[in-house]
Amino acid sequence: MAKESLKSGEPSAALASDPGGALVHSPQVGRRRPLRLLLAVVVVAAVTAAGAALQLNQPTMGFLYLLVVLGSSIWGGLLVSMVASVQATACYNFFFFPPLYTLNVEEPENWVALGTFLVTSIAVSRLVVAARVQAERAEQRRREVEALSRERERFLEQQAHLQALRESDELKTSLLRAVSHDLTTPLTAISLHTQALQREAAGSGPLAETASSIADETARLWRRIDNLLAMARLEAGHFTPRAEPTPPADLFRAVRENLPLVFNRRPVAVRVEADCPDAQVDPSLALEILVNLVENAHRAAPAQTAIELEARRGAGEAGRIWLEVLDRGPGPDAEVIPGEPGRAAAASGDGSARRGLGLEIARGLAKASHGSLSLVNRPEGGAVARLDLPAALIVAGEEES
Amino acid sequence: MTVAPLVLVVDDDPGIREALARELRAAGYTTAVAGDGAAAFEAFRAAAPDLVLTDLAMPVTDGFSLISALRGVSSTPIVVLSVRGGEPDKVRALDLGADDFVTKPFSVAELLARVRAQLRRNAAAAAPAVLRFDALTLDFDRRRVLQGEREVKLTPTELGLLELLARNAGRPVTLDQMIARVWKGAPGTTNDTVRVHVSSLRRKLEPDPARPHYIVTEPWVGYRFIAEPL
Repeated sequence: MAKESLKSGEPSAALASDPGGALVHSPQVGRRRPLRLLLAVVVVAAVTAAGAALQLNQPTMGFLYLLVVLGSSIWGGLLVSMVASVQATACYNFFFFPPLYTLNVEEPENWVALGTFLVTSIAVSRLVVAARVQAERAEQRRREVEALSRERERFLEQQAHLQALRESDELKTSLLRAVSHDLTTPLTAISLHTQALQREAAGSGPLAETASSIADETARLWRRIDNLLAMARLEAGHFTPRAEPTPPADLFRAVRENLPLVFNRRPVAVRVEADCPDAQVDPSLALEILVNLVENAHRAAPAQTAIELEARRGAGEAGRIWLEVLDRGPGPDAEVIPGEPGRAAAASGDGSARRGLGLEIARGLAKASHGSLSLVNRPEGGAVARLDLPAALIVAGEEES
Repeated sequence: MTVAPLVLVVDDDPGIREALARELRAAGYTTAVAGDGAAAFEAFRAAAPDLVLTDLAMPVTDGFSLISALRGVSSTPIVVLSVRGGEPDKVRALDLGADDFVTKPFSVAELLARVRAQLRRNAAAAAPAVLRFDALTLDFDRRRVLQGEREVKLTPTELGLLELLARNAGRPVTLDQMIARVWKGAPGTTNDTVRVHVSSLRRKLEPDPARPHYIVTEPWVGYRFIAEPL
């Protein structure tokens, strides 16, 4: 196999994979081999011509030929030096051993001399080439080790970079957690104290009203903090919504529990259409969006007018569900394009009631829930805030009877 | 009840702890307080409360360790205080043996309702064959469900689910608990399997789909039967 690759002059014969050792050659040698072969032949011929002309004796010629073979094995590789060896042996015999100018050899000791010369020159060739291949392999290994070490350095750099990113992520997360804890702990206490105050002040007129206002504002503050934390988590980019099939009726019920004030002060109608699927959504996100929308409607709508909560199959593309909050407040006049935060609403005449952090957050949370939010005029007056969400895929089918 | 039930309040924040204790006393309970899990366990041994109300995140010994320790020695009802977004903690606490949770910010009325429900459940330890909820009668011996006079036809799985939920009325049941109890942990039973059956059960039971009257979803946790037994 190694011989074949030698003959065919394949430059790709891999250094490291050839167990033949001495037969291995480098690609550079492979490319220039014809030239080197020619050069070796010419040099052997020249030495022969010079030796014949100067009538040098056999031992001198033998050493000169060996020098040439040595040189050709250093510069030309194994094949070149083999060819040089054979050519030198032939020339040595032809021009310097009697009978001259024939390839015949009469004296047995001359056979021994020529044979010894041939064996020596081939052995020298092999040794030299083997030494050179060893050197090349060592060089190759050194380069490989260097490449590996560069690779390792790059890997370590990337690791450090990732670690830094992770740590900054962890920092953000723990900072958010700490802020959340540090804000909610006093708020929980305030809310408990306020409820105690409400209990004590019950029926005492102005004091009861004050206590109730504190409770309202505390609840609002709490929702704003929830909003801000939700927004911070979204912006930190490491918030992963955990969607699960969520019945709209449960969401509306949770909205009612979250906004007792709204529900106590004005009529709220809740409708879920019979064929309405569940929403595939993170329930806490959906709840936060809806709470913001209902609060927004509550602020915008005249007192005593009803707010309506509706859930139905999306009328647009398939597999969607619409959760709508309808009110009788001033409409937004222009449709708010999903993803274009509040521009249209803000530009409208009486849009101020529709602005605010709540709507912005609702829009951001809708987007994070693979949904969208639009605010449109109601034909008969008022506004519809429509939350478009993916519907849950599982269908509640009848099973075993 | 002649003697006021004793509630052990466990929270590392003194402000919340004292405010909670005061509200419970105002509602007619006697209270004991502790600032962490280890102190709570000592207080539990000393005072033998009727109910434990505990925060989860506490220094030294947290609420989870406390729940495990308490469940090793007692079946006293445990209600957990949790925060928004802390659903994995809720599930973990329930699976460790907690009976219910309230999520901050909670109203005192809501908290008291949970406490009442747990104390009542604990008092009625035996499992009666017939459960009655305003318009709903569940007769588990005869495997019949009546809504007023009308019989509701349920599949065996739906009946199993309804029994598990109704016997734990007022208390959240986790999806894992449902799979373990109703499906006996049958392989291939997923949360979606449970949801499909609960959804079908709800359509048969709930008169108004917009206002669930019996079964509500506890996001990421499971379900809760909210009607109060008569």
